[in-house]
Amino acid sequence: MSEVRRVSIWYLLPLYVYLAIYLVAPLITVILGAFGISPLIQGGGPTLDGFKQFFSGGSKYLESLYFTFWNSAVATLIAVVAGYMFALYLTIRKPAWWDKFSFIPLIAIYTPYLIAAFMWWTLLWPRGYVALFVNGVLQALGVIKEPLYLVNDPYGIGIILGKVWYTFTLTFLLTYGPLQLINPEIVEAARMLGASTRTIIRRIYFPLSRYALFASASIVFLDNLTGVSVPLVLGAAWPQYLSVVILNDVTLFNNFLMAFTSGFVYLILSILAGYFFFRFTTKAIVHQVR
Amino acid sequence: MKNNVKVWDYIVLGFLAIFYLLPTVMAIIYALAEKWYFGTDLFPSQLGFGWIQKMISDSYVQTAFINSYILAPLTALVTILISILPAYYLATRRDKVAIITETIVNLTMAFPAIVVGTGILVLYTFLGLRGNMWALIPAHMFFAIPFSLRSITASFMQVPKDLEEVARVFGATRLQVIQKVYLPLTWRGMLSAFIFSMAISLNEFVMTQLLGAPSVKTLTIVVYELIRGYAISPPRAAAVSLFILLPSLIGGILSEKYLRVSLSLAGGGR
Repeated sequence: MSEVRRVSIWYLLPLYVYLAIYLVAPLITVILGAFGISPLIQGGGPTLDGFKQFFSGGSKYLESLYFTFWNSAVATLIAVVAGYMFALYLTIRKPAWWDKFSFIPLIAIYTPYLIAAFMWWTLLWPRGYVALFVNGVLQALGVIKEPLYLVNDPYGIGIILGKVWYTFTLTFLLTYGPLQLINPEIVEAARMLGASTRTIIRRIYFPLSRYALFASASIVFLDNLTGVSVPLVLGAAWPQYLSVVILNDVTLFNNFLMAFTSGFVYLILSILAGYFFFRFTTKAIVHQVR
Repeated sequence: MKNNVKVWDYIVLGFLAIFYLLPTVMAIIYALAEKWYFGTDLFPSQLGFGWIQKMISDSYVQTAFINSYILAPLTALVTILISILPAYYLATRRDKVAIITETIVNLTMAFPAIVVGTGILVLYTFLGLRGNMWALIPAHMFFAIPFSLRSITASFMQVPKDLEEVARVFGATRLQVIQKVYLPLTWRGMLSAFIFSMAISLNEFVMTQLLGAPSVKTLTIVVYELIRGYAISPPRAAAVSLFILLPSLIGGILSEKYLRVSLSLAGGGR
């Protein structure tokens, strides 16, 4: 590298100073707090009481963690399957309307989470159009007798719908690009050899885009797992997402020990999901380059 | 057969349009519904701008509006300023430090806002910065920096390296090169980073609720108070929502049309 091109490492200083103050220090604060070391905890001192309370049988935190996990997993599964199928549909069909209407799924990207959650609430509450339609159809078919609660319900149906609205776009954006990079001559050759669309998807599109799909699944799961606004607005009084429990512990109950402990558990989970995201992203890039 | 396939194309388009546009349309209908007997009527019996006018003239909402629209551009501006030098390094040097830095910055997206916000809350409590509006700017920057850095770095990578070398040979310092060569040539990347950072700040709820409450109100906080607080009022919430939603959507559509923001940022998540 020539002298002209060498750039000093000091150029990174503003970024690292910022990260030290707004990432490292807060994370250390939360980790120490989980072990009782924080001036905000009354009668503070090193302790494992937070973890004992968190993992004790029948603890509301464990219940909340379980609810957060399965609800996020269901929302991720729906969003990833639907988003990937939509990306495949666009790649294979190349519908004429896409150029004109490609902005439609991007509405979700530019809508604030909290407002999107509210917008879905207006559709899902018992007199909302979606609730009236779904309950009307299910009652007409004889599947249910009493109308279902689609929002603020204990199963988190509203949360799942609100999250899928967002993450469908994310999955589609993350998988559509890699699908476009697949050499069309391979697909053409397969077609000439008599492969059906299903076979082409199974043998060409999926193997060549699977890491992008796994990467999108990891980031969508992470997004679902850690979000606050959607479960806050569309969730029930109980069970609640762990993020909502932490928010309440901090803002309503001043229970900092449990907020830090839950935060610590949350951190571990999100780092795991983040690890898979970066691992699959790297693999996807290597795969595409090859 | 061909017609059948075309019908399916339109069914997909119809479903997509309903899925994405219906929630937005509902926010507009609620904001315009001056009279709506939810128990018996499917539609509002009277439409008008009454709620929107009430919210515009409400001093509480006005303050929140001003706060939101002061915080968002300032957050975007500071985010870009802080990203320029690191982006230059990342664009021009592909060494281990650059790769580690990118990994760390990307990793910030993996951390839950509520956890980072709780940690910052402790720091702000001891620094006496809780409820300080200006202290919200660096907190709002937390999720804007990864996108901004990625967008600016990608733009800087597009700048022909000979231009920089010519400028350097003629005696320009590195900062002059950034100022006179890189910045004018990469305004699109800067603008997309600015728009996205501004949108992130406008949308920010958790950090504002944790660090600004109860003294600093933004529009998202007001919307939250109107849907989950003590004075629940969906029509008011819908009217206030429009003050964020419409500028966000218009800005988004324009930036997609001219800058392809989301596509350039795809791969990051939100």
